[in-house]
This record gives sequence, structure tokens and C-alpha cells, in this order.
Amino acid sequence: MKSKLKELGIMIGCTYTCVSVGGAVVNIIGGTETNNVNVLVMFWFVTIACSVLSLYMFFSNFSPLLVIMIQYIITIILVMGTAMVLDRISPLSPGGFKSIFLSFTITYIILVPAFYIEIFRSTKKQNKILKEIQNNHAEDM
Amino acid sequence: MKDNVLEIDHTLAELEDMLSDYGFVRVSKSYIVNIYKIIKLKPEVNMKICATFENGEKIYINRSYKKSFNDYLIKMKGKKRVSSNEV
Repeated sequence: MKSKLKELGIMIGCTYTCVSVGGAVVNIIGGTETNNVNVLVMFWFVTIACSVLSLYMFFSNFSPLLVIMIQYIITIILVMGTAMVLDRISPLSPGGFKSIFLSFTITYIILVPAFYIEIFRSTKKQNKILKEIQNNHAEDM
Repeated sequence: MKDNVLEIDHTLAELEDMLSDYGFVRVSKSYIVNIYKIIKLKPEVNMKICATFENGEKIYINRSYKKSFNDYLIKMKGKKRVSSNEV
């Protein structure tokens, strides 16, 4: 449990770093600025996404497509729920909800194939290591 | 011997500890496999990995065991195999 939480912490830290650096670059290029609330909201969204995605091992008996869809639905509910709470505190700009929905959905659609490609790449690497081990074993015999 | 079933009075966790130096690794709640007998690994659409063995048998490496399986392969990569005479 402790190691899982540590892994999750590292994942959140790395993802948030990438997202905030990317956001800063976009702000510099576009000449826009962000505020402290946005920074906190970004951190909260990253925490939601990483936490939900890291639950995939509990769905190991289901089809991955179903798992991806379940995770997407849970995450989008939490993200839009947060947006609604924020809208009560400080009203969002017109089209804010649509913008949040699209930002999250597009990122998710891009990341899912990347996740699959990584699985195929790591298995190819495992096959290579396995062959090396077996060759060493054959030489030792 | 090849086609026999041996009954052993140990848990899989105990067997994993005893046999880890000899190429055996846990891949699911019910299986410990010998990596020297694996022909190939293939990813499945359900994100499990299918291991095909020399005897044609196929066993799935569960997603929750994938990381430990990978760590085991890396550990074994640089390790000289322990001879059965040393047991």
C-alpha cells in the first residue's frame, strides 16, 4: 500500500510538472497569464486523473476498452463536478465548461493509444531480455 | 515425470522463494512458471501478457504481476544461473 501511494505521488508530481511547464510555455507563446486558482485547479485535475488511472489493476478481469471507458466516465464526472463547484464560488467564463470538457477529453484520447503502444513496446523488450537469459542459460549448460 | 503431476506441501509463495534462483517466477495467483521454458511473450488486448511454453501451453501473466515479472527478468539478465548441483 505504501509503495502504491509512493508510486502515485511520483506519478502526480511528474505529470503536474509536465502540465505546468507546458502551460507556462503556452502562456509565454500566447502572451497570456494564469492565476493562483488555475494553478491549484490544474493540480487537482492531475490528482484526479492519476488517481483514477492508477486504479486499473482492480479491473484486471474486464476488457481494457471497458476499463478505459469506466475510468473516463469517473474522471470526467469528477472534473466537471469540480468545475461546477468552482462556478459557484467564482463564475466560469462563457464556454468554460465546454473548454474544460474538450481539454480533458482530447488529452485522454491522445494518451490512451500512447499507453497501448507502451505496453507493446515493453513486451518486445521483455522478449529480448528473455532470449538473452535463455542464451546465457544454454551457454552455461 | 514430464506428464506427471507432483503434489507439494508448500504454498506458492514459499515455492517462489525457494525457486526464484532457478528461473521460476510468479505470474498470477495460481501459477509459478519457469522462464527458461517460455518461447515467447505476446501482449493481449486485455493488457495481460500471454506466455507460450515449449510444450505449447499458454499462461497469462496478470496485469498486477507484470511489474514483478519484468523486475525478475532484469534481475536474471545479469545473473549466472545456479547449477542444480548447488542445491
